[in-house]
This record gives sequence, C-alpha cells and structure tokens, in this order.
Amino acid sequence: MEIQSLFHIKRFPRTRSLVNLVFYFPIGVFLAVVRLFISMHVIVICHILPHGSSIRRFVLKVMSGVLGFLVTVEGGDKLEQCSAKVIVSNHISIIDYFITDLVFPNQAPLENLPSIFIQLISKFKKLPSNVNKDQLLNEVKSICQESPVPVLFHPEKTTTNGESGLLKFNTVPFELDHSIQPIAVQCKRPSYFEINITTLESSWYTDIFWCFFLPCTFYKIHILPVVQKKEDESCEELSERVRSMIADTINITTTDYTYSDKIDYIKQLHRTYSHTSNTNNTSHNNRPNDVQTSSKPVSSNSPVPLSSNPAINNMVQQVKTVMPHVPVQVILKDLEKTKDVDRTLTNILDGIVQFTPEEPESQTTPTTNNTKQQTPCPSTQKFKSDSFGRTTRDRHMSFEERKKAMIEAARQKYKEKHNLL
Amino acid sequence: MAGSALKRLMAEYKQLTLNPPEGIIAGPVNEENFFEWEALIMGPEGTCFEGGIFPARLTFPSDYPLSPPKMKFTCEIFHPNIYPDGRVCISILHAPGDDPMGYETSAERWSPVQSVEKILLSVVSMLAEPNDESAANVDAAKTWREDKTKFQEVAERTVRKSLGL
Repeated sequence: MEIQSLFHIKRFPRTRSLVNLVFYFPIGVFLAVVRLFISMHVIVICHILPHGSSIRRFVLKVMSGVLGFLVTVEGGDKLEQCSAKVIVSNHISIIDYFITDLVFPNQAPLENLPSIFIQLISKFKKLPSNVNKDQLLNEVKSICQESPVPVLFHPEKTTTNGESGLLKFNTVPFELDHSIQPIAVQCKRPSYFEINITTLESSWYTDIFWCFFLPCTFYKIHILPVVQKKEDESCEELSERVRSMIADTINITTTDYTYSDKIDYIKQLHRTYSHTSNTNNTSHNNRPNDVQTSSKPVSSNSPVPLSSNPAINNMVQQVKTVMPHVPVQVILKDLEKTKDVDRTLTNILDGIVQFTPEEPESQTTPTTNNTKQQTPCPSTQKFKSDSFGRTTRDRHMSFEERKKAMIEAARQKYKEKHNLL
Repeated sequence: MAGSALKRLMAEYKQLTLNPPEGIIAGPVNEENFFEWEALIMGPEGTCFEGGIFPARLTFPSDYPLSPPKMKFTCEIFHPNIYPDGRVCISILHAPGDDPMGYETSAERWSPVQSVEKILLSVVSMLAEPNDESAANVDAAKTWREDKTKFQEVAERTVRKSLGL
C-alpha cells in the first residue's frame, strides 16, 4: 500500500464539494460564529462540572451535538463493566480527545501538548520530553496509577485518515497493564459536504473551523472487548493483536509504516513542492535559488553578514561547530526561518537546504599547515559508495561490502607484488 | 548534546561514505550505537606499511565534536606512535589543554572543526612518517631510529598478518 493513501493531502477531495460550498457559505458562516460562542460555554462546563460525572457527560454530549459533533457509540454495553485502565485508540483528528472523553472519561499523557483550545476541553498530562524510554515508561506508569480515570493512548502517535490503514503501534501503552481497552474511531461527513476532517498538515484551528462551519460531523466510536495479555505474549505481539482488532473493526488494513515515515513523507512533499515551484520560477518560495547565489565559495573568508539578532548569531555559531563545511550564510538563512538549531541541522542533513560545501578555515589544522605532515597519498584506490542508504540496513550492507572490497583489493595487490599467486 | 553529536556523526558518516579519502573506510560498527566506529586504513604507498589494511576502533564521547574521539588499532602494529595495546598517540586526538607530552602546540590539537576524516588522514601520515620524538612504543621508536632494516622487516610482517596471508 502506498503511504499517500493513509492521509488526506487536500481538504477538498473533489471540486464539486467546493461548488456546493458556495451556496452553503452564508449559513456556514452564521453557524461557525454561533458555535464559536457555544464552544466557550463548553469550555466553562468542562471546568465546573467534575470530570467523569454522568451529568457532565450528558451536558457535554448535548452541547457537542449543537457544535455539530454527532457521536454514536457501538458496543456501549461493554462500557459499564470496563475495568481496564489503558485505552488504546486509532487517531484521526485532534478532536478525537474530546469525543473519546465524552464516551469514556479519560486523560491522555502526551509529550507535546496540543493547542490550548483542545487542552481546555479535554484532559491531558504533560510527559517530560528528552528522557529515555525507561524514564518515560516509569512516568507513564505513575500517571496510570494515580489517575482516577482510564488513560488514553494513540499508539500511532499521529493522525491518519482512518480510511485505509493503521500505522505501526508504539509499544509503551502495552507495557503498562495486562488488560487493554481498544476502541476504534471513525468519522464521516454528509456526502453533500465532502470535506476532509483533517489533512496532512492542517492546523487545529482550520480543522475546528470546518467542524463548526459544516452542519455536522458524524463520529462513530466502536468499543471493542477488553483484551487480556496472554502469559507468554510479548508487548509487541499484544500491540499487533490489538492493532489488527481495531483495523478489522473499521475495515482497514494494518501497514508497516510508522510515525517517522509520515514525517519523511511530509518532508518529501515539501521538497517536491519547492522543487517544482523553483523550476516554474513563479512562486514565492525560491529558497534554493537564493542560497546558491549567496554561497559562492569566495564569500567564505569575507566578513560574514551576520544577523542583527544576537540569539540567531549564537545559533549560527552552534550549527557551524557541528557542520563546519556549511557556509555561514546558508545556515543564517535557514535559521531565520526555523529559529531552531536542531531543525536547521536536520534540514541541512536531509538536503532540504542546498549549499556548496566550503573548506573549513583550516589555517590551524595540523594536516594542512605542516608540510611534514602532508598526506603522502596513501593508495590509489577509493572505496566509495554511490549513494548513502536511507535505512540502517542499507548503510550497514554498503559499509560491509566496501570493507570486503578493500581487503580483497589489498590482498590481490600484495599477492601480485610478491608473486604469491 | 548527544543529539548534535549524533547529527554531526551522521553527517561525517555520509561524507565518508560518498566521498572517502583514498585508502580509508570508516563507519559505525553497528548503527544502534553511533558512538563506536570501525575504520580500515590502508598503509600508504612507498612506506614500510605499504599494502597493509589496518583495522581500528574509534570511540566518540557524547559531547563530540567538543571533545576528541579515542582511537585504537585492533590489529597488531609495531609503530613508534602507537602504544603496544593499539592506542594511537597523535596530537589531533588530544584536546587543547591536556598535553601529555608537553610539546604540542595547541594548533595541532583537537578542535571541533577537525573531523574523523582529518584524524584518519593524520594517522596515515603518521604511518608514513613516524615521529620518534614522542614515542608511545619505546621499543618501536628505538628500532625505527637505530635499525631501519629490522623495523622494515617487522612492518612487513604486520602487513602480511593484517591481510591474513
């Protein structure tokens, strides 16, 4: 299965749906404005009524109906006897948290909290970032134990369109408890308004705007039977079992793609986009052009036009330390966009930023300033690879192959020289 | 810090894969641990180590490139600047500040603008021209200074051994 079938790239799959919107537009704007005010009330209710109480659930269900979220629950009879502390669900949009909370009061531990609006209408626990897996697991475990309500996980770690396949699951939630409550979420809009609920890169406010703008959005939540971990089952096996259960329920397949494949896919889309816009020479995004003209090697020793912002200068310095061969101008240019050292480094490594490598200012390096130490041309052969593999396996194979080739060549040469054949 | 070390190592690995200097191969032993590299160095032509393939291990600190890596030959090699256990003693592997021999100028030492490639090239030069002033292996330094033919014989043996012949 192709990765693009897992996500919606465009908000409007067909132009027909755009045409329909023209007639609906005035009503839509009216609805959106009214619902915006109602959503303020929802926030207030979320905070004054105790989390998990049935009155809160009832009031919120009615109000979410007014907001256009029509939620149906399948298998709700299992709800009352549910004792599992861990809920695992597929993820189709940012509103999932709110919708699942309506059916199943829960809280979700997350590393990166969503936008403030979503935080106000559902419950989250912030997880520390920059810790290793064991610390994270301990943290999640303690949240699980303290929390009076079940804990919700989206083990795919990101959204998919919920129409063709599930990403690979993260195993953390499956290490927490022996019983897991899987749920499957589906979402649909009336066929007259064929507008996708979320797209690959849409922001939370556009997603919510469209929900408020359109008459209604149908959510269907399937509550599956609680899964018990078997004696001799590993967390991976358990996660696979739960994954196929969820996939079967909503009639989609399980795929081998992961969260990072989605990130790569987004990057790739950006790259092709900036490439085409560059060749067409029409668009606003002609970054690679700029970079190439500004990074002529001559300029490397001339005084560098640094930014007026000292924080940026500092970051340029940091990037330069890590990658001395990248011209300062290029780093500066990208940093002005990203304002983040790590993202710039990634951009450079991934080849999103193009540049002409420069020799680092090597007046001080021992290999060049000292004629005695000048490299005496070791041998005549280079063992280079034509490409740098994308996966660990590819790179390792290529490394091993080149090692073998080098040893073989050296042996051959030695034998020839000493007539050992 | 470990994040930028990893990124830098990845960049250097890419560079060394796509465009390695002659007679040098280097890369992580196993990508699960990017801080442990393996390198193969071909003995420079026209020297007594000509034709040999010398495997070495590079161990990077987590604050690389601020601190230099450590390098150790995993094969037997008889050389004035290589300790009998295989550790390499050259100035580029020493951070400015610690100067075990007390004569290196800080310009020759480690700094973040150096790279794995430069280290390996320096090692190649070291193989070509041993520096008997700062001997790590006193025996080897003495033989190199006083009995070049014997040194050549020993070197020749290591070359053969390194090729497994």
